[in-house]
Amino acid sequence: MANELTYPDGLPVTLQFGGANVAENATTALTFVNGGLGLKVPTGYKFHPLLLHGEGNADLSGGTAIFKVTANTVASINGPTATLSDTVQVAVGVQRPGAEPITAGKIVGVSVVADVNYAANTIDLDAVLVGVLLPA
Amino acid sequence: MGNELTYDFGMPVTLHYTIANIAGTATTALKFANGGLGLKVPTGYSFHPLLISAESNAAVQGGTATFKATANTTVSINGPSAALTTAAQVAVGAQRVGAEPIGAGKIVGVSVVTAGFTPTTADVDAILTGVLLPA
Repeated sequence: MANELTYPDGLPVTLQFGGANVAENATTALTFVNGGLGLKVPTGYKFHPLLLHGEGNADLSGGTAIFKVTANTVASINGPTATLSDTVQVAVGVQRPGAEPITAGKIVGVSVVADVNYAANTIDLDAVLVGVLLPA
Repeated sequence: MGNELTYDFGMPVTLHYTIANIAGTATTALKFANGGLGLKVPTGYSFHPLLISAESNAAVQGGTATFKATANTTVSINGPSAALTTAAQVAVGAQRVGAEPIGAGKIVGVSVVTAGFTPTTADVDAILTGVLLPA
């Protein structure tokens, strides 16, 4: 069992992702500021996503954009989510540890699922993902 | 009371904000890399700002630039602050838990209050660290 990251309740990690001009009717991987796709989970650990914040730099005029945590670009089912709509420009969701941890070697990322009515596709998005690394 | 973020001393969160071409005398909200204004505090929690660090990419020639945490763009009074001056191109301030927590549903941001600050071509990065604790 790995033991370098010695925090009683896991090592907290905050990651910020973004995307410009996110397309409608598509799933888009957000990236780090220089294009990186996410954090690689070190050997011996799992990453437990706990909080996901999503935000647009302008109000949606239609549709929805659902932020999801990803493991090697595969969207999680039980991780935290955040949904933007024409009345919600900022959203946040939380989840307990252990709901869907991401295993060692995988890339922890964030994707946005924009439906066919999502508008405008000139909106830029920011996401904040908070989680903990715990020994596997 | 929220209980998903199970951490003995709160769930630590670190956020990065930026601003380009800082104004000389104004209060200006910094943003995330793609224009977002900050973290929304989830239901059942409060965000306690503990540390703020600010750094200019150019030497300060005059005036001051004071960085503070904000709640829905309202500048905190008792939160941590960091001031750039001619003597400090990088600054950091810390504050204890509970000094001025930000309630659920509000947006945790960072603003800079400038007074006669030069050069106005300077770009600044700010780091805000705090903890989410059950409200």
